[in-house]
Amino acid sequence: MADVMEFNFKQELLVSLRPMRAFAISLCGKADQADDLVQETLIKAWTNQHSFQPGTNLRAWLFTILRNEFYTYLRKRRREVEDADGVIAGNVAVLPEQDGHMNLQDMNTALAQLPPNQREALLLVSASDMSYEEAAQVCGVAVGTIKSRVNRARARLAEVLGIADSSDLGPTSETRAVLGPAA
Amino acid sequence: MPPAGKSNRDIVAGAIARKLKTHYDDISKQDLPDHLTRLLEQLDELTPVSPPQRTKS
Repeated sequence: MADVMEFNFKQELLVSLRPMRAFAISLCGKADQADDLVQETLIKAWTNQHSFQPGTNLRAWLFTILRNEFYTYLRKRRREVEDADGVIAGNVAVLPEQDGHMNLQDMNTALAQLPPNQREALLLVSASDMSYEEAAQVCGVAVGTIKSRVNRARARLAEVLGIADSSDLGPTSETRAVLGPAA
Repeated sequence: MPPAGKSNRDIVAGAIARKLKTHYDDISKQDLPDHLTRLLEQLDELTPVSPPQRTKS
């Protein structure tokens, strides 16, 4: 029984690896730092698997470890100033759209305009498809706090990306697929 | 003019979600770094930490 459980936990870690890496890279903006965070998360998750209750939300448990590692990394670096109100990040940059598709580093640069707590909330809800309740659990805050952070992050990111209203959205990927390069 | 039934805020939220998911997809297409794949292979060598034992006082 222990062998079966160990195998399943490892399989779940494998399945979660790419989503964790996507979250980590988007959170800290640099692949090498993100990979270190993911590595630490995997080690901590594996060595502390007894503290995970099977049947509960493994993804939220893993993402909680990962974001805690991120904040530990920030505190150690002591370079990034806590900017809860987004005052310092107020120097927004509108990034040029290239055929409606941003490259990976452009999006990381845009996300870096957000304070960390807004960035993580937006990533968890809008990119990782977590519910507000799950995201609140990961971040250790109330649901209302997550909703507020997500709304502020969306508004800030829309400003950075130059999305003022629906006329600025450009073609979706589905539209481009139908219309071809001309879209 | 936003489509009927959707506020401009909803449309912008949807657009941002699509861009973020495209961003995630681009990251997911990357090869995993060697040290992460090696770690996954070597997880079995890491001994899970035993839960703390409660002792009767």
